[in-house]
Amino acid sequence: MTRKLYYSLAKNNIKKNKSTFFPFLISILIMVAMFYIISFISYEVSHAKGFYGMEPMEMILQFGTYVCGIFAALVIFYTNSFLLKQRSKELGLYSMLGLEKRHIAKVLFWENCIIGLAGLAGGLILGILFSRFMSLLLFKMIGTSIKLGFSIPTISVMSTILLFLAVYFVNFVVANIRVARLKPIELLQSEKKGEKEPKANWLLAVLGIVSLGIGYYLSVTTKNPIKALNTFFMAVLLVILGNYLLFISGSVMLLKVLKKNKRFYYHKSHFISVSGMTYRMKRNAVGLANICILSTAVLIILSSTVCLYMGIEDVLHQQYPRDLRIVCDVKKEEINTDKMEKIVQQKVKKAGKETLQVKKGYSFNYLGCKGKNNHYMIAGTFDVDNMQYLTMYSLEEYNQLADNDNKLPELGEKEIWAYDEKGTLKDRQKIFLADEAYTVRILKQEQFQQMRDAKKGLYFDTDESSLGETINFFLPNVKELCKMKKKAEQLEKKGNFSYPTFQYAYAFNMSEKNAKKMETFVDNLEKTLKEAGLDSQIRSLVVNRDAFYGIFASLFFIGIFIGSLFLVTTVLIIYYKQISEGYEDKERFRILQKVGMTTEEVKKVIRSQILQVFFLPIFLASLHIAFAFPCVEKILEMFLMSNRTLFICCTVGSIFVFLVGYGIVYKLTAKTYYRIVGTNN
Amino acid sequence: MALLEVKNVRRVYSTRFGGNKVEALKNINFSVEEGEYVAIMGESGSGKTTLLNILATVDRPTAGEVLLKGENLVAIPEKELARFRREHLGFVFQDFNLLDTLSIEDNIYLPLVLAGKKYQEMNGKLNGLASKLGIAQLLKKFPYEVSGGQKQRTAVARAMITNPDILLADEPTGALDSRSADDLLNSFTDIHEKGQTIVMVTHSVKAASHAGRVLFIKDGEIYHQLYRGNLSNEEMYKKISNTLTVLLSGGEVND
Repeated sequence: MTRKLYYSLAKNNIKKNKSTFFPFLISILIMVAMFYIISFISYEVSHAKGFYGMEPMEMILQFGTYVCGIFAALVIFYTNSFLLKQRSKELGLYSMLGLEKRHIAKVLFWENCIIGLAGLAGGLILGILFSRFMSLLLFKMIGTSIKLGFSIPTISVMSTILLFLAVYFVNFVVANIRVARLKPIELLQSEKKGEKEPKANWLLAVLGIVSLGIGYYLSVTTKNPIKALNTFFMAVLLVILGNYLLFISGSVMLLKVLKKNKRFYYHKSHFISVSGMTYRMKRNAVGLANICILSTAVLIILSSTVCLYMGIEDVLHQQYPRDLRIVCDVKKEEINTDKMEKIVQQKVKKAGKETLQVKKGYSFNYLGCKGKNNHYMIAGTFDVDNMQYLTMYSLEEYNQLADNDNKLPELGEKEIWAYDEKGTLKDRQKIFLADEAYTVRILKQEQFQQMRDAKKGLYFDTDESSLGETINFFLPNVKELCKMKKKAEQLEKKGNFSYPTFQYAYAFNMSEKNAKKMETFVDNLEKTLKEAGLDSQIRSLVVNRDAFYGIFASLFFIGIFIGSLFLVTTVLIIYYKQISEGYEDKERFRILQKVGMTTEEVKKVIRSQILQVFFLPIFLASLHIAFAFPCVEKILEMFLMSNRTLFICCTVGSIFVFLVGYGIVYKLTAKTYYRIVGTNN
Repeated sequence: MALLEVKNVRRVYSTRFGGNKVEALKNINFSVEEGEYVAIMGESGSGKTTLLNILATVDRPTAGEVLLKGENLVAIPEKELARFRREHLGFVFQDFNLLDTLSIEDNIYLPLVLAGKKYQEMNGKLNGLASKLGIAQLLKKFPYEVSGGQKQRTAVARAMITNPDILLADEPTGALDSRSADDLLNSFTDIHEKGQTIVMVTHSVKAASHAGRVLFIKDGEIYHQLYRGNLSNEEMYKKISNTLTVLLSGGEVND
């Protein structure tokens, strides 16, 4: 009998507070559905061994599942405690009416049950319905079609149920603690608290600006991509800190300054806004700062993952300019290139194909530190700041590759051709390679470009690599390259920390688009070459394309998922903020109308207030993104993605999509707000 | 010509589908001269709040007209009402209606700011008014920091700062303790003596005893009126009490 009472009380509460419970239910629904879908896809990918590159995908999706789970839990937890705070008065009333705390707990328990179970069940159904569609979408993005039947993996269902039941349990415990701690009088008053005028804290505001400034500075000035990740985290932390401080005290300070300006403050269109905002900021600073951080995160995640996905072909062609590239490590002396070529030609012919656009040649790469006074290839410990990438080619070989107009003249004794994009080297300058002096002859930019085109497809394109600055050298012939390699080896024996590689590369196109056939061909060729004593690595564009698509599409997918989760959260926070304020503002606007403000004027004030609250975080988020841009770009370069135009487009596109979504929420919220405040008619 | 003339005002409320009709005001006629202090008394449900709402232009009569300085309030278009209220009427409410986000000073400025006045001008008007009402020390404080009586005096200052034609007060002492109520009524008397026209709706005999004339309203009609003449507040109090007793017992009033 009594149990029924609590149940019906809970049911009534939900019915009466539709405008708060309904969005909560919807958000639980979305969270549950999304978590189920991502764990479903993760499950499916891990059980669909079928194409190259599944493993990294599996890992990414697994990771994405955890992130989504944690995030969904946090959002529901946050929303629940927010709602609880809002309802203090109502709970206080129960207490006054004679319900004991354990009775209130029971009512809350039933409320949680109804909303939670409805959300869980509905979310699961929604998730199951959409899971198939989403996995098809992912596989479509990867570009592979894998035949899979309709399935509902028990493990996904169970993990979803367990996760959300655990979250509900924690919520319930928190609610109990909250109810147990408050006295009825406090329950009744807790909404009235904090009516004091907020004080501006100059120190905190200045600290916020400084922290934001340093964060921005770090982001903009990052040069070294290997270091960028650390710097990025540092910058992120500083910006987050600065963001909170600015919202909390910077905003109040700004409003105080505005208030001091009598001419500005005592103006019809500023008076109500400025004074209202002062209070509003005090109560909502943290919420708005949250929204700002979330929006920034959504936008960065979205734009970078979209950019990675859209730029796959770019990255692929940069990594694999030819269909096939055979790279042999040169151990001692030159290798038998004729023998290798012969084997390759035979194999290709046997497969019924031709070797097209062949390019071949030696290259010596050295990643180490540079010393003072143009000393390169020095002994010493590894140091990220002084990292220098050197690539050396044979002039003889280059002249064979290049057409007549672009052939380079022979070099004199101890002379080398060089080019570095930064222009730190001057013509006829002396430099030292492993303590041996050389006179540098500088290539013209056009010549370098020709050289680059000529060797394109043959070598890994180090000029655009993310590993650091590169200097390109031309030594007279392969023999000189061999000598250079020996010097590097001697240095290594002295304990030098560097990465010398001396390779012979043979690259060509063969019009084979089928990844499976290509894979067999590559395996076969590799074996034959090994039998002939030629240890080699063969890289194929076609074979690796799947892997790339797998990785980048999963990243994209996770990006969209986490982005949507963040968006739902943002929307929820804004909605609740606006609604709860609506009830307080109602009284204020009633007074204003009595004192002689027209409905039109009241509406104008309301509009400007909502607009400020809505678009201030977005404005700041855009600013954060603008300053994060260089840093994120460098991090993308680590994924070999260096297409600035594409990244700008993706960023702008993401902001646009986000703004559209945000605008819709704004419209809906404003409508509810007007209804509450009562200026609808 | 009287400052305010209420002629044949009738107000009928009907439910949404026109079923039940309630006649809140039947046929109200009275006028207020410039500089008069009039109290309107009646029980709850007598129609006094409806009458004040019509005077305040918040509500419109079903029939009849209300003239302020010869201008028919009923004919003012909806759009201009807010401006009209701001320029010609001052309000004091039972529950103060101060904005909690504004300081006492800013609350008083509110109607002038809405009217687009300059700060210097507003500030000039404020000083005399604030010291007269005894709130000069509180100007920088916020409503939550001051007492009910101080809040109500702030509301009076806010109403007075526009130099309204009429000060309309709706149960101004309703939410105050008796000491604060006395202070407030004394303030009203002061203001009145400086020439301000006041119309106050109340059911407090004490509040009404400060007025120069008391109108009694019952079942939507002006039932009776009393003039102060040369009576003191105490004598007026007694007279009003007697009248009310008779009114409540349903008998006729014999003067």
